[in-house]
Amino acid sequence: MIYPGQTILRVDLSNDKIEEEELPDSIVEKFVGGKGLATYLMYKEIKPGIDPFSPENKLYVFGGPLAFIYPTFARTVVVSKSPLTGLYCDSNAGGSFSVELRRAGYVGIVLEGRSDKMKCLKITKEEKRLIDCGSLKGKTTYEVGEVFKDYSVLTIGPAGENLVRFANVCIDMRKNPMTRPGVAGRGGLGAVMGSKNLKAIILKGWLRLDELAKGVDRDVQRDLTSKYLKILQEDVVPGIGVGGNLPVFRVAAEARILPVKNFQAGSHEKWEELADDAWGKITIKRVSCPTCPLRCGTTVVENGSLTERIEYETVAMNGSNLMIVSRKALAQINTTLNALGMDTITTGNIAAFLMELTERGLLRDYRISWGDLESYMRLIHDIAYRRGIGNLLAEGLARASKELNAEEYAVHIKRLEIPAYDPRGVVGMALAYATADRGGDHLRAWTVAAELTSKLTLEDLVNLTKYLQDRNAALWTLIACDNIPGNSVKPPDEMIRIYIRMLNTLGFSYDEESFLKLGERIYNLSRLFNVREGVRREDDSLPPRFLKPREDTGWVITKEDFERMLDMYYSKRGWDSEGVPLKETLDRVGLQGLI
Amino acid sequence: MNDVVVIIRFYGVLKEIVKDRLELDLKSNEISLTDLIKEILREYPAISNFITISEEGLVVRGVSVLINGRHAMFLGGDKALVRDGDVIDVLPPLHGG
Repeated sequence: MIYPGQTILRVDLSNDKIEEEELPDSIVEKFVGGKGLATYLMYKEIKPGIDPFSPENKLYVFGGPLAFIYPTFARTVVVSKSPLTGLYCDSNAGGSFSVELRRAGYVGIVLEGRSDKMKCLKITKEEKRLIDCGSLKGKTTYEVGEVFKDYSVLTIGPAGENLVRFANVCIDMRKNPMTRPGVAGRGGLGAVMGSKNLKAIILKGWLRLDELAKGVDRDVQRDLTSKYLKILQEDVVPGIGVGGNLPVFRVAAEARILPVKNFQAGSHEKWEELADDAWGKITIKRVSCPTCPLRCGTTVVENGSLTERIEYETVAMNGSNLMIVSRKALAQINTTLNALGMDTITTGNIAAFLMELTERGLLRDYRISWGDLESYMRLIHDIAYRRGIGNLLAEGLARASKELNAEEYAVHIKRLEIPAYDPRGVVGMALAYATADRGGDHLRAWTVAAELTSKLTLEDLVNLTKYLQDRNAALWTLIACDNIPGNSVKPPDEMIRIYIRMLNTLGFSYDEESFLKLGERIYNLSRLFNVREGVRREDDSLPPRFLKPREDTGWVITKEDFERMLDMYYSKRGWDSEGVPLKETLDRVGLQGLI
Repeated sequence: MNDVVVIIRFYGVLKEIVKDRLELDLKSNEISLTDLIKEILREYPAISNFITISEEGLVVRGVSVLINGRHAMFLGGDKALVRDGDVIDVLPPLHGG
C-alpha cells in the first residue's frame, strides 16, 4: 500500500452489491488518484461501443490522495463514457465530497449496473448501503441538499433523471451553503447517474488526519503547507479577484473574444454591466471548499434574485451570447440550471443556436428571439422535462442541429458545445479545443495566460498546448484545483514543485519530469479510449463558424492553417497522421503491458 | 516614395499602455514583424511586459498577434512581413479559464 485508503468502493446497482477493493501498488504508482486512476479503470472496464445509458457503462467518482492532508485538494472528478459525446469524459467539481470520501478511507467509488428503483448510496462509518429514495424523485439539487443537510451530498436534479444528455452532477447545492457548492458540469455525466437510477450519494467521513497521513513526516507536512499557503496568498488571491473566475469577463470582452450572438461577434456594448466590478458590488458572501483559503464561491443578490457560485462561463454563455444583459436574469438562470441539474455552458450554447435559427427564419414551429428571457426560462424547463422542442434539444447540440438540418450554425467539437472563448484571435485555443480529450473544452490547455512565455511560432504553441494538457492531467490525479494555476499571476512552477513534494511525502517518488510523463500517460490513455470509439483526425476539427472570418473583426482560422497546426501537434505527441498513438509512444509513456 | 502606413490595434490592458489604434509610417515598402514591434517598443517600452524581442526572436506572454485577421505564427512568426495597408491586431493575455 502506497497511501492509506487506496481503496475503491465498487457498487453494483443491479443487485445492491457493495464491495471494497484495494488497488494494487503497481497501478497506484502509475496513475496516483483522481483522473489517472479513473481513466485507467474506465479504459479497462468499459467495453467499446456500449450505449452510455446501458447498465454496462460505469461512473467513476474519485478524489485524490492529498485531500484533507494538504490544503485545496478538495476537487472531485466524475468520469464515464459521455452520453453527449459518446466518448471519454471527466468533469471536476469543488465542494466537500472529496475530503469526506478520503475521510471514509476511499479514493474512489465505481458505480455500475442499474437499479429498478430510485436509490441513494449512503456511506458512513456505520453503514455503506443503497437505500430506496423514491420520495426524492423529481427533487431539485437544492432540495436534495437540504434533505441531507448533515452530509456531503453528490446529486442529480430532474434533468439527470430525465436523461438530458448534458445533465450535470452537483455537490452540496444548498440555499445557504457553508462551503462552496460544486458542479461537475460537462458531458452529461448526471444523465449516466440518472440512467442507473441513482439520485444521490450521501457521505460522512470519519478518519482523522493522523490516520490518513500515516507515514507523513509532520515537520515536512507543516513546512510544505506553509510554503503553499504563502504562494496562494501572494500569487493566486490577486488573480481570483471577486471570485468565481468572473474577472475573465472583462478581459474576454476587451480582447473581443466574448461569445456574442452564438459566436457571431466578440464584444457587447453593455459588457461592463456583466463584468467583475458589477458582480463585486452585489456579492454578499464568499465561501471556500473545505481546506481551501481562497473563497472563490460567490453568492450574489440583485433585486431580490440570489444565486450561489456564479462563474464566468455561465455569465458569458447565457448573458452576452444570448443578449441577456441583466445580472438579475443571470442570477435566475444560474439558480434554475443548477437546481434542475443542467450544464450552463451547453444550455447557453444551444439557446444561442436556437435564437440564431429564429432570426434566420430557419425554424418552423418554434421562435425564440435574442434577449427573450421569459421564453428562455420556459425553454430551460422544457429541456429538463423533455417537453416539446425541449425533448430534441435535450439530446445535445450535435444531434439537434442535425435533425434541424442546421449543422453549420452549431458550435461544438466532438459533440461537446464550445465554452465562452472565441478562438478566432486567440488561435492557440482552437488547437486546445480540438484536441481536448473530452471534446470542445478550454480547461485542458489554457494557452493564453500571461504567465506563459512563448515565441510567436507554431512550434512553440504546439509545445505549450501539449505541455499544459499533460501537466493538467497530472495535476488532476491529486486532485489539484483547476482554478488555482489558471488564476496565478506568476508562473505556477514553484507551486507544482511543492505539489510533487507533497505527493512524495505519501510514499511516491516523482520528480518534475516523471510527473509530466504521468500526465502524458493519462492523456494518451484517454485518447486511446476515444480512438477505440472511432475518433480520428476528422473529429479533431473546428466547427464551420470558426473557419469563416468574424464579421466584426475579420479574424479567421483557415482550414489550411488549422491542419498545419494539427499535423505538428500529432507529430509532437507521437501520434500518427490520423491521431492514433504510435506503439513507441505507448512504450515511452509506460502504457504497454498495462492496456 | 508614397507613404506606407500600417494600422495597429491594441486591446485590453495593451490599449491602456499604448492606445487603441496606432498608425505607423514605414520607411520601406515592407518590414518584418520584429522590426515593427521594435518601433512600438521604442515609443512604448512598458509593453515589454507582454511582448519583447530576445536573441531568439519575438517572445510573447500570452499575447496574440494577427496580421489582417490571421495569426502571425502562420505567416512566418517574427519574420512575417508587414506591408502598406496591413492591419495588425495585438490581443492581451487572459487570466482565469
